[in-house]
Amino acid sequence: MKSPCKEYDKETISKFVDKELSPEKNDEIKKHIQECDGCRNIFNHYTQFSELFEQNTVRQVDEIDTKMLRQNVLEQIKRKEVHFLKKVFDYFSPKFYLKIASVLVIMVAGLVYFQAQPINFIDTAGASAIVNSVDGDVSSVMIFETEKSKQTIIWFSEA
Amino acid sequence: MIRTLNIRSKLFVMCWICFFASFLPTTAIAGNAARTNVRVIHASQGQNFIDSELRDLAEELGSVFKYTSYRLIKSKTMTLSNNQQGVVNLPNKRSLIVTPIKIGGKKIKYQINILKSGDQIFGTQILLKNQRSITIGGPKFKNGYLLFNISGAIK
Repeated sequence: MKSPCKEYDKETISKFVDKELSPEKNDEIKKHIQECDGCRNIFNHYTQFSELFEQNTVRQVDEIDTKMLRQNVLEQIKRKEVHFLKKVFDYFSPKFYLKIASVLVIMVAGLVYFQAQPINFIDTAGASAIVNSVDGDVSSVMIFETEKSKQTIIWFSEA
Repeated sequence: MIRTLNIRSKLFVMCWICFFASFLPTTAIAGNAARTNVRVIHASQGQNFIDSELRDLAEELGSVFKYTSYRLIKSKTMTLSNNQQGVVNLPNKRSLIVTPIKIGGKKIKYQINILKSGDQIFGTQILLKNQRSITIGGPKFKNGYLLFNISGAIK
């Protein structure tokens, strides 16, 4: 709807309907509407629309059961609190102790195992082997070791 | 009680059981077998050559031998239990028999025999440290010599 009046636009009339104008401006437009048909039509249209809107909105809000709404909100908050507390209690529940117990059992078993069976780390210190005996149809035998990893070497010359 | 556990707790317990179980086979067979590897090498003073599978060993041997060529003729890995013979056939009707006679602690006691046409030409008894190796050399072969690198690991 276009305002046929050049003096006031639709927005100003809308503000007038919503009582958002200064008292002076309000009186000025009130007087103008009585004289101007175009602006009066717009004013009537806005007023009807506004009344209709207010009636329906108020009715909808009145239908809301605020007591029930409040109770629902409180229940939601309570449920969240209980959920959080449940998490905290669950953490220290028997399941938690079961986890701790299993870790302890493994640690004790590990200690017992490693004490009974020492870890077989590679023993790189000293010669790699001890030669207990040598025999056979050989003219000479030499035993020595390499410089770096002390690897034992047996060298024999066939007879 | 297991029924009351959630999936995460069950997984947690299962992980620990698996971790613990992984130790059991080790405990059961520790000291009962020796993973034995025999590498037969031809060492000579020919053209410079080091087999890619002998790089670790050639560097070591280079500190005591003056050979310039190390060629891998054969490599054999065997899992041998106590007193179980492992036979490696060698060139020129030779064979090498390696036998773990005591496996335990951190050492393996091996009896090593080298035979030629069925007759023993060399025999030795050694105490090899776990996961270490020994090299035996001497038989002449193609303008060079044969070396036997024997390594053992307790299983």
